[in-house]
Amino acid sequence: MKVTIDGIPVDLPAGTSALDAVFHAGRDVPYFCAHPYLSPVGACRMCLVEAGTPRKGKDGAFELDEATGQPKIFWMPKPMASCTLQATEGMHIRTAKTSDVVAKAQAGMMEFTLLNHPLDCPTCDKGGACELQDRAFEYGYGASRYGFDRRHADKHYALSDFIILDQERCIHCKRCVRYFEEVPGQEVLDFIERGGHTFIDTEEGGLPVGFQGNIADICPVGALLDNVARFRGRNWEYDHTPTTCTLCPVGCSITVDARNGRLERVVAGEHRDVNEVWICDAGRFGHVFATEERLTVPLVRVGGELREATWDQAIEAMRQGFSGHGSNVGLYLSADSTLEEGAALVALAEAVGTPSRDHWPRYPHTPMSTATLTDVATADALVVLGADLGEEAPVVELRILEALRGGLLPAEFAHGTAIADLRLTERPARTPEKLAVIGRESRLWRHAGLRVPAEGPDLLARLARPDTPDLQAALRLLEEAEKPVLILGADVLNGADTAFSAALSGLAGRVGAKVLVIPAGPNSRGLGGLNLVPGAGGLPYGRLGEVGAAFLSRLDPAAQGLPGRARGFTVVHDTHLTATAQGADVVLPAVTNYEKRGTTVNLEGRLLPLAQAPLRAGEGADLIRALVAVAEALGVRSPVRGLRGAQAWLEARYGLRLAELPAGGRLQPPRPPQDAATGLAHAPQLWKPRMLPRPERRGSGVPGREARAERWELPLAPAPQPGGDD
Amino acid sequence: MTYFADKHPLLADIFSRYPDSPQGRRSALMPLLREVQNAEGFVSEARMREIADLCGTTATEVRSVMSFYSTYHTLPTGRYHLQVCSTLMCALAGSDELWDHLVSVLDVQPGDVSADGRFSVQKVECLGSCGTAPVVQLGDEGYYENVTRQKCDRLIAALRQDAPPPPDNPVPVTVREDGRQMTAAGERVGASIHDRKPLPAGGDR
Amino acid sequence: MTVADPAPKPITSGKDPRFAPSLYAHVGQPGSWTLEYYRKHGGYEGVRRAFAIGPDAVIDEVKKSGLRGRGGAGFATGLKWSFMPLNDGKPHYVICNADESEPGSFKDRYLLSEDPHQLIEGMLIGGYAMRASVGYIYIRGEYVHAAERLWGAIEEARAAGLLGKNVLGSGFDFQLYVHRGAGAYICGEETALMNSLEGLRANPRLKPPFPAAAGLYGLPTTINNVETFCAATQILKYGADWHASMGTEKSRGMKLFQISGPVARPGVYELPLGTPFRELIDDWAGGPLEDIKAIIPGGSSCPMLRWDEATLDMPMDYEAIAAAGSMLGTGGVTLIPRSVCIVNATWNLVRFYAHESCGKCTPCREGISGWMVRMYEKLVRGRGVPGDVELILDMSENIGGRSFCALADACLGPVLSSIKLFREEYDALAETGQPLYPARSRWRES
Ligand SMILES: Cc1cc2nc3c(=O)[nH]c(=O)nc-3n(C[C@H](O)[C@H](O)[C@H](O)COP(=O)(O)O)c2cc1C
Ligand code: SF4
Ligand code: SF4
Ligand code: SF4
Ligand code: FES
Ligand code: FES
Repeated sequence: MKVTIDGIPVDLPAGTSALDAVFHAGRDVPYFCAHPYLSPVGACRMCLVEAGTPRKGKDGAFELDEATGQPKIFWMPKPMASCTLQATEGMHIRTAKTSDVVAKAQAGMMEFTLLNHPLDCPTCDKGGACELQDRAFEYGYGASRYGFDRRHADKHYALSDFIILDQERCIHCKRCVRYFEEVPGQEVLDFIERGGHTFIDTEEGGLPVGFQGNIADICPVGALLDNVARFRGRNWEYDHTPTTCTLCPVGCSITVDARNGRLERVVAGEHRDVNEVWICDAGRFGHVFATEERLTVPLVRVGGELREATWDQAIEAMRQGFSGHGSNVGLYLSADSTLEEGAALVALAEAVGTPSRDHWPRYPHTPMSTATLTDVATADALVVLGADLGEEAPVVELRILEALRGGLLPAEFAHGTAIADLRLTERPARTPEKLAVIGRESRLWRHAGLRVPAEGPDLLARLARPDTPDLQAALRLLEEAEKPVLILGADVLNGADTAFSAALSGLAGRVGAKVLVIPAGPNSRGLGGLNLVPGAGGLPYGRLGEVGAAFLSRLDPAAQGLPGRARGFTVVHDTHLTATAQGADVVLPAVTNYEKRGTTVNLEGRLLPLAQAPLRAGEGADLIRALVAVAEALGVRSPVRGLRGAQAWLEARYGLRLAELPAGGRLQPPRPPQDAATGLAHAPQLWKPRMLPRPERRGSGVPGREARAERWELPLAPAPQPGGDD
Repeated sequence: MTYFADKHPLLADIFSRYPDSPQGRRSALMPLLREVQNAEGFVSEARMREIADLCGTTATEVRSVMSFYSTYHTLPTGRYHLQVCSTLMCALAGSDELWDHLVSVLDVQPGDVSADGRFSVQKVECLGSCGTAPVVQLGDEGYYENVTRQKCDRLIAALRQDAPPPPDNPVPVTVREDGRQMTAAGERVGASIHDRKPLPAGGDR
Repeated sequence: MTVADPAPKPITSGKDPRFAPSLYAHVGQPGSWTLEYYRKHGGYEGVRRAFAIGPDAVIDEVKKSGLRGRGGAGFATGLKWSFMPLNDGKPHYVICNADESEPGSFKDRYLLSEDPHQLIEGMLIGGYAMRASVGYIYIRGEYVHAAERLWGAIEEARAAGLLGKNVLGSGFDFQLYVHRGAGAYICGEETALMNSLEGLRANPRLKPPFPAAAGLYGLPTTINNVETFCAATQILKYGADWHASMGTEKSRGMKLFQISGPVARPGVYELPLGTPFRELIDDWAGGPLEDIKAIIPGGSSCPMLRWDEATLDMPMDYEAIAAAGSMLGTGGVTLIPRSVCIVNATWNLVRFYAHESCGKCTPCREGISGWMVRMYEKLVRGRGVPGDVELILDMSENIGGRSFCALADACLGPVLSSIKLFREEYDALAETGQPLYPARSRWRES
């Protein structure tokens, strides 16, 4: 389809919006209500263009312009909103660049948009990253002719612990309302009143925790703000570090915003294959531990007490502590560690000759995923077995909901993801009948056509040979679909073994389903494949109490109710003085995953890069460097002494080339994890206690939770009057 | 207790008007609001929540929809909620003065309820009664039309006695019983449709 | 038909001996709303004939009659009905738009309360023609009395086998329900109406998809005005030719004209389209009671016309009123007396639109509901300054044709026309703060 924008001809697929046509041609049009992953609604009226089409005559051919011999263009009498206008064959479009009418219309619309918008930019968290501010500069008149008082409304209205609303700043684009309705499928935020009195509010006593934070990203102005990051910095003061979230195995793209060495904010990044542009609330708000109460220097136990020490003193203490244990040393690391860190640990374990090495959490056996998240989003049947996605992999839930509303993946253009995808509609039709959930009750239940309460490891066997009508229906759903996907979570995977995998492939093969297995830890899918499990005679993490001496990286068994020490000497490498660290002999300061370079593997088997944000970590060291110190103390020389060495080791041993991983990562499932008993069941928990933000403590000026609970009883501002607004 | 707990036949009747689907269920939202308001005079937050459950949605949505319309109330009104049309055609018949008169005689401002709990007032937009202007609507009961000053005073007096007169329904037309329309001069002109035979069913083709 | 037939003189006067009111033939008669009365006067003969000729022929008949929508836009009804898909296996809906909220319009109200069976019959005809087995009447919330009459009539019709399964033994099933609005002018806009009926906020929806493709509950739907459905009843009863014999070439049939403002006999008059305005105002409405300076010819959205000979001679039909620079709209005519300040009168209407803006789109929410109404208030309160009128005009340019639905444009009807016709009144207010026509008492004593 040929379309001409400001005289620039472009070729476009049918169905493209005029707005995307403009951007594809390298031209610009301002927009506020359109958003790539939401339905176009045509509300803000900023995206006006002039449009005209050729007309077919009676003979079926285009009517020609007598002067030029070209098809004659019949211009529409009024400017059109380009986000809701479908470009058609031969259409001509004029933007403000070539049309005075459009330029005037947009300047006028900008004046209306700014009419009631407070002059807050200097104190607004959105300042510097505000769509309104930018567009007003580019397309506005410069001055308002509105001589009246602006609308006054609540400027500090906490919609939840995490989101604060400034009702004066709202420009009524409806993105937030559409987001909740269309993406997580929750009707928890909407306009109240009508006309010039319209404002945003909730009647739920607060927004539900799950995916609420995304509205702070998509609000084009500073009306909806991240309360955890409130007043922490201006946008131009932040260092923005695009990286990958490693709080769960989804591996969403995020950008970490840091200022003065503090992590102040996490915003979503775009990854079309993984999280699109949405992240969960844990990933967005659960970062306070990266800044608060960090351990910044090594600690050594002297006379029964942990005392601050230098790294050299710590190495010396470790040398003494490890001596006499020989190779009876356990090396354990958290399953959110990078592949490179895992390589360093394996290399050290081999150098020491200890079979006791492990990562946690993991399952004794992890079957392989064959489905990608895109497969999930475009599936025509989904069965979720024994998973609580809210705890295990939240964004998978959003991709499932995407499948239930038609699985329409947005088109891609020269400018990126389509901004106004005309196939997306408000209040989309949903097909809950495509989803069956078998397991314990979870947030996803509400959306499922078939819910089967059940628990235990034999769920897969029962699904394969259904013994109840519900299970039969679930199996039939898989059998009758073209592109079914089966999603497995902790409740079934805790008991998985090779027979389970065989049964799984048998079932998947029989019904033609792809399988998405949610690994236990954020990178347990990757680490498991590095032989990072106990070797012959080795002790798993769950039997820490039996090893002679141990090194634990960012694991806190004491908080899990497990023995927090080895039989003998115990070293803990962590970012905080955890319960386990408090009982250790030497504590080494670690860095969080926000401060690391390296590679993680998500639940699809996608290699994703981590980048290093400039956070203040004192003398904290990542695991690779910490292990160099441990090696020194143990008197061995580790072959892996840095990131580059770790990558070389990984390439040499497993053929993994990580050095030139593109920003979006690469779908390249590494070796399957090795099997090994764990002796422990994994109970997924997304929000760890130290992730919980307490906004009142962070000086955001927001009243505490109790005070707010009271006002939620009466959220009616401005006070309503009988019969409306006269 | 919930309002609809003992009203299953009513609920069944309301839901039966719409398709048996989640969308259809949601259509009952306005009728349910109307039921509650007519019974209780306003819709409280508890009732919003109850209606949300019945319609398969949230209290946020109920409040959002409810606040969109001008005839639902979130606070109690007076026993006699007087709504005065203030749009142009009524204004041309003196509705501004009517309004001022009401407000001062009843001593009540919009948004308030008079001390005796009897009266509340609201300006509303064109009620579709411009041919019989000015007009006052009483609650969800009906209209009083051609409200002259004297009629207004009579109405207030009656309401003070808690004896609201039945609503007016004058029909400002001039078609007579013979089917012919009468001009201003009093002439019956034109023809009457009574003299015209309907086409026979199926017989004309 | 032979070529030589001399075209009969069109019927364009209510006094023409060939013209008989039909829509309102029974309005005002005692008991006219009962089934017994309706039946006695040939009721449900139209739908019987529809069943006899079949659904496609019904659409042809309506096309041939020249009927155009009476809700304001004047779109050809038969053509609209033919947009409904055939044999798509989906449920279809017909909806009657009984939201009548355009200031100056009050014709549907009496059809609803005085002759509800005429509407039920029209919807049966429409439903049958468009293969819909469910109909809704969306009636504005304030029409309590009319809604009660409707409910009663529907009950009667159901009991008599005129609604429900196998209507009149035709094999056609049709259910009809009433849905009451709750006070929002925008619900008259067809897509906002569907949202309201679905229990959503009544914001207009995007078009396309048009209702005939995806309307109520996403299914094929056609919406017509009360008068349109009632006219369909008469067309099926008396024939397309009878209907087409009235009115002018492109404006066929009869129309309900409503007159308000200072006239001797305000009210509703049924006249052929093309009836001169002079006849309407003098012969029917009894003439103005005071000196008039302007009229609104078709409901508050239609631009004002100056009260002059040209206007008096204007035939009341779609084309002639458009040629004069306004619209037939709903046919609600309002007279604006000389002694009324036009800025004040216009402010009243702007306030109406500001109050009724749904708030969805920026030019209407901010431009009209926020700014325009304040400009008018400022002018009327005597605080205007020179340049204010130019500002209103410039603002109007930025609103006109840029809004999501027609409501914002509707507000500009009175604004732009009153400035064009009575600029001196605006200028006087802006410059001196004093209106040329100060307010005076208009309230009748008894
Ligand atoms: C703001 C607005 C208000 C409207 N109000 C009404 C109304 O009250 N009644 C009506 O019949 N049509 C109204 N309409 C027109 C309807 O959208 C629609 O065109 C009409 O119901 C179609 O019926 P018809 O073809 O029979 O005229 C309104 C349109 C707009 C834009
Ligand atoms: S709060 Fe923000 S996202 Fe929501 S409608 Fe207002 S401007 Fe748009
Ligand atoms: S879903 Fe997982 S990866 Fe994505 S933001 Fe949440 S915790 Fe992080
Ligand atoms: S013009 Fe815009 S704000 Fe006004 S009623 Fe229409 S959609 Fe709503
Ligand atoms: S109308 Fe808002 S982007 Fe097009
Ligand atoms: S203006 Fe008052 S009823 Fe129409």
